[in-house]
Amino acid sequence: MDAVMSTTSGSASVWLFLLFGFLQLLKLSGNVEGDALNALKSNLVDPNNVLQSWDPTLVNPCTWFHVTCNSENSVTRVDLGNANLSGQLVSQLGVLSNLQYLELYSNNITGNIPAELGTLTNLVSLDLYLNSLRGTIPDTLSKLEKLRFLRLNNNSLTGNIPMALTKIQSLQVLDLSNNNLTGDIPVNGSFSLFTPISYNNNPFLKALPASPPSSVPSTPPSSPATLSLFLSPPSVC
Amino acid sequence: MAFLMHKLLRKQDAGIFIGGVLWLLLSCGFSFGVESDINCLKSIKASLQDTLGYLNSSWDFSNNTEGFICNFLGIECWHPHESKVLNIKLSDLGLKGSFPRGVENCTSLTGLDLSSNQLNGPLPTDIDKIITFITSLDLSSNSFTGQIPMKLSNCSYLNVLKLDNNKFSGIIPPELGQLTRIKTFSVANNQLSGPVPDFNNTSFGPESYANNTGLCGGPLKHCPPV
Repeated sequence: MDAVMSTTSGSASVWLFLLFGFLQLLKLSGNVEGDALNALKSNLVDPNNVLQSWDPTLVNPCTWFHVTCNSENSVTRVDLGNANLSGQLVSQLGVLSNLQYLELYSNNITGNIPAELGTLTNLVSLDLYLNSLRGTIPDTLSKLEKLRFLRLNNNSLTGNIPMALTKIQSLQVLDLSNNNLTGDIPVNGSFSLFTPISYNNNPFLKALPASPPSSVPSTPPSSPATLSLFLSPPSVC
Repeated sequence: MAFLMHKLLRKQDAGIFIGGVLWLLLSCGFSFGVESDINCLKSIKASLQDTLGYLNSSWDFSNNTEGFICNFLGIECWHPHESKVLNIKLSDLGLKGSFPRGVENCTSLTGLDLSSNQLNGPLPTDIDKIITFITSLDLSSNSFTGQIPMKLSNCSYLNVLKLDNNKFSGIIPPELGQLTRIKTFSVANNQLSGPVPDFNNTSFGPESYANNTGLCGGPLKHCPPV
């Protein structure tokens, strides 16, 4: 009798353990995206407390401010532009498989652009401009087949512009200006649409072939403009 | 000014002055196009007859916040909160007048679509100075007259050039054949004559040249011997 009781209670506890583990797994799988964003929060410095609502104990991040989800509670937008953030990005951002808009512009974020961003195949807009990012532009970004806006201007990015980016047929706006990029400027594929404006102020980038001989400059008139700024501060600023 | 210079001779003030100038330059550093782009749009609005009132209602220059022109009808900016114009798309808005030269001040412009309006007169001969970095130019379905400017061939970033359904006359400048990036080209429904350009990397079908006075060569009938 005792032997039967002990085996029954033994198998019951095994079942309970399995059930508990399964429930935990359910809770966790709903939180993969929340965990990823929480990893980002942990790696950022947030003096304005814009990430105060980012509570990782919630079942998903869809109620967090600056996060937008679709009808299936999967993150589609992260809007943290102009939020006085510093610190660095994290590779976990790559798990946000339904992300369409990654808006992190106009902060003071340092470090590299994670290569894992290349797995965000639904991404339409990648705005990391006006930060202090270093390192190269990952060529994994060439896998972003729906990308329309790639704005990485005003950082300290180095290295070449990955030729593979010319495969992104949907690309409409490219801004790589004000960086430290080197090498050649691609002109094939979708990059046929882009002019020196997209590459302005990269001193070591090889200039695009000059237009047919005339007084047409091959780079936008930045020097005269800065000169006029010096002489008469613009009223706009 | 002399007083200012006298003050500068003191080291601390010099430091503050330099710091102030640097701050000003840095804060304005990325927005050098801002004031000129606003003037560009003001000039366009002033030079065109807005017969249906679309520009009048949407293009309000009184609210001067950062990037305010980015919300104007037909205006697309490089970045949402910076007044740097990327594209101007003013198709089918009942606009009258001649080609707005004020576009010259939109120094970062890559796209201009003025199609399906009632614009008239010739195109500026120095059009390459006015829209230097243009990649897409659509002036179709207007009443432009005169010759197609030869200097359009200096707009080397042109991918799309639509001049169809106008009243252009004379020849198509052969120099247009030098445009290496051109993908779409049409001069159909004009009053053009002479040989069509020999494009280096590509060629266009007869529909690009249809309904003109006397075009020849390329996909059309042979040109008569000179």
